[in-house]
Amino acid sequence: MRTDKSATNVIKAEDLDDVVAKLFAEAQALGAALRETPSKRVITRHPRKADIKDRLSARLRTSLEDELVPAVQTVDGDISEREIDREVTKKALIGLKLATLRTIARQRGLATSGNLEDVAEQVAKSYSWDQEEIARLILAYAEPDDPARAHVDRLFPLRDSPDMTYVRDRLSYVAGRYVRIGIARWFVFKEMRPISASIEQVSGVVRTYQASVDETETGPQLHASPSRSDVRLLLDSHEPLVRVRQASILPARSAVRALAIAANVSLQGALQLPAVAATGSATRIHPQSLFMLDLLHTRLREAGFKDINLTVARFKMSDALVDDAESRPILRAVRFEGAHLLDSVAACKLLADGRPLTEMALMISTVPKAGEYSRRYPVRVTLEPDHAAVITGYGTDKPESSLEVHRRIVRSLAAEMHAGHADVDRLQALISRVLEQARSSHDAKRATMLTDPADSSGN
Amino acid sequence: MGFRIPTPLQSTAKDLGLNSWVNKRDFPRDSYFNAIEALRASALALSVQIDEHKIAALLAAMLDEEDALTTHVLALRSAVDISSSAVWEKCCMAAAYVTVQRYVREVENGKWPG
Repeated sequence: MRTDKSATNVIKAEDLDDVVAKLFAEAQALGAALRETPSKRVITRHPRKADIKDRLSARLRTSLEDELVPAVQTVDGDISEREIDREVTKKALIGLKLATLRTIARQRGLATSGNLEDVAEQVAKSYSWDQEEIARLILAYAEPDDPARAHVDRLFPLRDSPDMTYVRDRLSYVAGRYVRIGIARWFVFKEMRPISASIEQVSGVVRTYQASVDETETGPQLHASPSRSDVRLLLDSHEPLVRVRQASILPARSAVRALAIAANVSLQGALQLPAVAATGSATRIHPQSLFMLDLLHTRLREAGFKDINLTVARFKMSDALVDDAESRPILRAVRFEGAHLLDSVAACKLLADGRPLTEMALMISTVPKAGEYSRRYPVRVTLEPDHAAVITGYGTDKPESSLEVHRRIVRSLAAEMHAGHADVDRLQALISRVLEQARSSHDAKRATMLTDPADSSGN
Repeated sequence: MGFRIPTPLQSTAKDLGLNSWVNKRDFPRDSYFNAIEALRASALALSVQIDEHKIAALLAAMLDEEDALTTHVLALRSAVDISSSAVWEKCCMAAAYVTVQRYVREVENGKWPG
């Protein structure tokens, strides 16, 4: 049931049902009468023709609700359970973005016009309000922003690969102790555990307090709100990285700082990408964009993924600090949302202009092994000033199934970070296509940017 | 401003050749146009105003019941799965919108009522 602000009249729900039934019956009677009228037209009564009376009747009722708000009789003083179910289903769908809902609607041949609620209702109806089906749909399309529903790894670059004997020796000093890493911010080292000869896992807790002043009857008093975040860090003697698992950005930074102090490892500080191996026109592209494009086009494919659809691309435009920032417009970032964005002129123009691509969200499919079927997952890759992050949504699968996928993506990202571009020739060919598209006046009709011309197997 | 068919149904109308079907000589134009006005009057009698989009849902029910659209759709070269509720509903809604569009155009041009 809708809550359109323009709706002005309240009608008893049963009266609205009555209006719909009467008008619908009249339309059907007019159609039946026309069928019986002698004419040259050929009438076909096909036994397999779908019965759409309920759908059309529901469509009429929904459109009438634009102007009439049905007042429903309570059930024992409460709201109908069916209505609550439907509203909850809609609310869950509304958690997806409007553009995503419209994509789903388009794919299901539904109307894509209207506001978020309109489109969510259309989609829910097309699934016959089946909550299980809709839950799967939401997981498949949800952007992996929520660490509770996604695997998160943040990779902080080190100056050198760590010497694990030295690191383990240093960490043994701080087990069960805490270090202060900022104002009202501490890291508690809980446990160090060797995962293998080369990998050490450090578990700990970031404890912080937010301070505020509360006005009380006895005068102002300082008030502290505690928060805690469990963090796991991994150090591998084979790669110059610290991996932080399942942590949001601030606790991750705090934990890495504590580890650097305790284990005496040197953080790179700023995210320094490997020297660009690209030549010619590729030199026009920002190194961060080259990093992302090589990851997208080669590393992920080598890691066993296909059908890559770039749905979000964020470009950094300016990080200039100016004194008169409040008086003049500054465009710091541009974020595109859609599908197959690398085939869009707008995104290609920003790449060609040398803007750094700092964030991308994509949908990827696994290449199935024999006897398996392909699965699809939402992934987000972000380049922060001091680290790179991968967030992999659970997709339609159990968390443990998507974890293996997530690990493959993390390995690809780590390799790109410390080994550089996987295939410079492929990257160069992709750049040529990007630059060509940037000069085009219209978006591609079909997404082909991530398909090698010589490759018949697609992306 | 002219009446506009919703975008998703425009391609259906085109694929099914509904403009020429609705403009064919044997299309019972008067019956459908009279039905539009009768349904609008009935709604008003029930204290409800219905616009062209709501009329389209009612005309879709009328077209579904009449079954001449079934003949047209099944005669097309491209196979249309009329056993699918979603597909058939789209066919009926697209035909209804094309009919309403013709009605609106002819009222504006002074061709209806003739």
